[in-house]
Amino acid sequence: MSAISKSGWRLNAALFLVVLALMFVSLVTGPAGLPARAAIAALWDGEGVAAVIVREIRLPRTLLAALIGATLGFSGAALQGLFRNPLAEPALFGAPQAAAAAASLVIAFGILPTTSLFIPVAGILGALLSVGALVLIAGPRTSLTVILLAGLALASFAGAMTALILNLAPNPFIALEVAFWLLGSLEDRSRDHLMIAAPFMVAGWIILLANARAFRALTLGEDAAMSLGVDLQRTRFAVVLGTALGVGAATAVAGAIGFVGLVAPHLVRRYVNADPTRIMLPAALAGAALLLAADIVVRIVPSAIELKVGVVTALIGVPFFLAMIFTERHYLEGEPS
Amino acid sequence: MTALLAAKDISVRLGGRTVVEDARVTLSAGELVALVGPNGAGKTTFLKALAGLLPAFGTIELEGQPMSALKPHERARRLAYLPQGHSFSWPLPAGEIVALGRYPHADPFSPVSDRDRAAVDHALDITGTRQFADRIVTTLSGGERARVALARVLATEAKIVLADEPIMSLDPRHQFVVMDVLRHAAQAGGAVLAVIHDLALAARYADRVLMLEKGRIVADEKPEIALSPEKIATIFGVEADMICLGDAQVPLVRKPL
Repeated sequence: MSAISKSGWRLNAALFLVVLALMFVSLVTGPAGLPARAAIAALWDGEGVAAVIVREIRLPRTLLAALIGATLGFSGAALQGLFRNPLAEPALFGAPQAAAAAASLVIAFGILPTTSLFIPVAGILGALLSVGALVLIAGPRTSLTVILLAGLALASFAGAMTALILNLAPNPFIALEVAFWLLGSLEDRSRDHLMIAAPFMVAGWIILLANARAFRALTLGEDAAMSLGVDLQRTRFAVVLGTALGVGAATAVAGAIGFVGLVAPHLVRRYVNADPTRIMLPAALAGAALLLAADIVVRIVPSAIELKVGVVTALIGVPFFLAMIFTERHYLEGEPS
Repeated sequence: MTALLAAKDISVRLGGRTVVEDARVTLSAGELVALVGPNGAGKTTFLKALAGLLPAFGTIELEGQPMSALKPHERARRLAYLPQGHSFSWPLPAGEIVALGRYPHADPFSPVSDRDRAAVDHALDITGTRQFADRIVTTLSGGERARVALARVLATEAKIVLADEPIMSLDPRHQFVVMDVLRHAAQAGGAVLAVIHDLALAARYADRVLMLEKGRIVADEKPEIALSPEKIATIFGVEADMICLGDAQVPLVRKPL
């Protein structure tokens, strides 16, 4: 047992270094063409253009990418643990969809620029509303299937609302604005965005981590886990809430960023012996690394309009994911019959 | 001496149907009790109700304390439940599955204690699973997985063990291995209630046989009385002869009636 936890520590340390390295690259990457040394120096001192660019533009963007990526990784790993299924992902309960719908509403009819702070606030409210509705619909004692179906219904409803908002947008420019926002981006996010979303994301992490121990017991099935003292109702509620808070806030500031929550746990699963509890931290670090890398890519690829990071995660993610499924079959396949 | 488990007037309704009705059972230290009955008699439901996994009417006391007053982990330290089937959702090493038995004892902020390690080692040894403790559990054979699942239950060190068909899918030798382990657990001061379909094994190993039919307990006797040819004919609809095996009278099922 000790050997495994030692290698787990090494894995986390290695991933953490990767995240730090990517954060560094993210801070020195951008259209302003600042030399790396000047960019890093501007973090701590100095005034003028370099300081503004690095501290007000690149730093919030970098931190948001890391936090959002980690949130998606935590949420994906937690949901896969709760559902005992490697296909579970953060969009399952409709929280990100509800956040996107609420944010779209504000963009389309609030006549606000896409960087306004009302957008994340509305997004977080939308996510909380959807969780409240889910809890009300599913009731206190219910099966995972009922929660899933209710979540699916809410996600579809939120999707329909977003479509309706696009449909009724006062003019095509606003519709385009909403559509672009929905693709997911970290461009021009400010320190205020960070301050609004970070507490919700961190609260989500804490809730998920506090319940992570139950995931390993759930490997035995729900009955056996309950017989070991897992309070299943509480665990389910906590995971749904933690995911909604974190992913809701993430979607509210950055739009829909797909795939990271699904892929991040798969990236690290083999290094933790498929342990659904120990996978949490590595999955979060992998998520942070993935999103940081994708957000660096959108700034490096030359194009007239900056690529949206959500597009990149999906574009790179899919072939990568397929390749991984192919090589990781051993860990994905259930029991041999 | 108070019984380890005393359950009275247990009724369970599932989907508007009464599956278990007014069932009662008492398990004392040292006892291995077989729960027998035809398919659909409500054995699994009864066992789950006793384990506190299903909402049930009636009272269940563990060592004199109402089960409803115990916190989940307190209950889990006294009563272990082995579900049917032994399927595992993630390909963990078998040793880690066994270590899950320590879940109710663990303090999330402290490392694994010596007592935890000793309990896991003991469980691995008596079930003969140590040899594949490092192997991925989903790659083990059905019989190996059944023993890993049993080791997990024993690692809890709970005095009461409720086992749902612990010898299902085991070859003859391992059926004896598992029954010996369960008897040993009972003799060490525990109490075991196990669903067993093999009436001959139930007669040979059990101190008492609890017979369930259509949700009601129809016998709670010594094996030679509960598993008489007459009773077996009425409840299971098969003809059985009693044969002598050592000093035990064991039913041998011959043909359906």
